Amino acid sequence: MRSRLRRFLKRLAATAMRRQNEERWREEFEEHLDLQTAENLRAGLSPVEARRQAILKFGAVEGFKEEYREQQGLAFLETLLQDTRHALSRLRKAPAFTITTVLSLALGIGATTSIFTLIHAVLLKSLPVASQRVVPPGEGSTLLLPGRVQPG
Amino acid sequence: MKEKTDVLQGTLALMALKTLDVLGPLHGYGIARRIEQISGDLLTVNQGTLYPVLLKLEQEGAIASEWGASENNRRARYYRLTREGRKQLQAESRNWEQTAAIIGRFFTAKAEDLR
Repeated sequence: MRSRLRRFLKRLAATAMRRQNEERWREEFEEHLDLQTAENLRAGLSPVEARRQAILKFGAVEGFKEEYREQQGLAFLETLLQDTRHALSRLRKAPAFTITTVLSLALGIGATTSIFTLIHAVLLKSLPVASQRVVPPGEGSTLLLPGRVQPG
Repeated sequence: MKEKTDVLQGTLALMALKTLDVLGPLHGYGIARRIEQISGDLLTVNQGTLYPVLLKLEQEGAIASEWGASENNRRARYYRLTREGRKQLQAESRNWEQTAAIIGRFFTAKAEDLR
């Protein structure tokens, strides 16, 4: 459980510094291929063949990069950021559409809010008193009601 | 020629941990080579497969990594086992041995034993 939490936090951090990380594993993969190439050269292969064999042995680099990338960051967060960025740039390119949309949304939200405020105040909100019992005339104290003459 | 076997999911992580436990800090290439040597080249594993595994282990805190100089005097990423990783390795090797023992018993059991 704790290791899972730690992994999540690490991935969150990795999402923030994606570029640095890409640099890191690019270098790491490159170094790996160089070491394998050197090994193949020692085994007597020609330079070109040594490099080719090293790459073959490593496997589909792009695939691993993809897998690495997915594991390193939080893919959904990255996708979300990308989509948001894309949406904003599209909106900026169509100002008329953007203004119309924003205005109608603003009007709609504003109208709904004010009507609800009214209904809330008139119909829904309870009166600020402890008991909502209707007091019949003559019952209880009348001292609090100014302007009324005490009977008798 | 002997048939090569696919690596079970998760086995590679255990192999990497054990390698680091035995050999000390090592770069990715070193770990890959060691796994190949020990398994007698029976494993069909692309060396690249190891890196996502190492990343996951590092994120879980079982191993840590830092830059160091490689054999051909360039920067390489060196991985080492952490205390937590050692604990994880012990627990997992116990598990593994238990599983292997159980399966082994099933294979050696004769029909008479089961009656």
